[in-house]
Amino acid sequence: MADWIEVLIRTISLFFIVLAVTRIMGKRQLTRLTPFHFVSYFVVGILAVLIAVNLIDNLILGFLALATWVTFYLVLDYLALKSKMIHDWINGRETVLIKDGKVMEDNLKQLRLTGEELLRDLRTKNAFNLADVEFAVMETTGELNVLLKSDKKPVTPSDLGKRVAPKSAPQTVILDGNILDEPLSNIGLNRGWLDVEIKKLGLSLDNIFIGQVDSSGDLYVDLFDDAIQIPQPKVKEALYASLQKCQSDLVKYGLETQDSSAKDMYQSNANKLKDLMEILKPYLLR
Amino acid sequence: MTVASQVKQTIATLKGIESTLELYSIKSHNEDEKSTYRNSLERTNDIIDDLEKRLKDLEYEEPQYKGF
Repeated sequence: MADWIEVLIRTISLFFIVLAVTRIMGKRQLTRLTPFHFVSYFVVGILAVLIAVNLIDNLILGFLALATWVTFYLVLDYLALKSKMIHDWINGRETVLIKDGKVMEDNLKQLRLTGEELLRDLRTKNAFNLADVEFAVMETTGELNVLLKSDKKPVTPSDLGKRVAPKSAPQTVILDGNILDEPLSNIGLNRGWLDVEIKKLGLSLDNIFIGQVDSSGDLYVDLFDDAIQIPQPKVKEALYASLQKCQSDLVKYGLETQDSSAKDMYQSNANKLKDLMEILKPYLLR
Repeated sequence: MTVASQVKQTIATLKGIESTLELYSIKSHNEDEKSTYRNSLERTNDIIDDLEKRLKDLEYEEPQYKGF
């Protein structure tokens, strides 16, 4: 057998073996690997190449090494799931670098990190000012995570004391002009509904690139042809506006009427509508 | 425009609001959202009832405008 044919066959078969092995080894992100996982992936890759280009002549020996490494990796990974001790032993533990706003110099030394490197890592997390950092921890993957002091944290609606509407994930129901049936049935809708919605917008299905249904059942579409302007649903804004109109109408009637019981009725209902508007505001206006 | 017809108009708008809320309470698939719409729907309904009662009084007081 000519050399090149052998290399070709070996490479093709190893290509699929490595594909299968990496699938089994899990879907860790390369940037989030601990050193142990990193080395394991490398060993698998290098062994595969060595076998493929005939540097390891004996196929059995090559595959034995590959299989042993993968097996040990999987066994240790499994044990790490079961036991915290083994997990720490394989992956190491996270190290606290800044606590209560003070840098832990001993821990820095232990990780062989310089002050500059710490500052650089802090900057990648948008913490340019050391004074803003309350707590920082070096994860086992070498990533630095930062907790800012509470007065430097980004504002959330709860900080402002604002109520916001709960939003569940939107479902993508159209992709590349094709209707996706599974997400559509997940939210209890069908093709008939979608057809009507598309017709309401005056569009055809093959012109829609992405279509999403939000948690309140409104359809948002993005078109292939960006020159076309489509009306986006403004039903909720309109609803809020008519609530406002009714509320002011009731206030007006209350002021105009001479009948005191009717006055009370109008006023109390105007107040009810006002409360209602407060409740619905986060849902209707966004 | 008489007061009665103005009130009628407001009732009509409120009924429109009610039906839109009903539509949303059916369409939403988030439980929290659903119940908020449903509660608002019920409150709107109460207000409509009050106004309709008042409308009857108005029509009784000014029967010449009845039906407008």
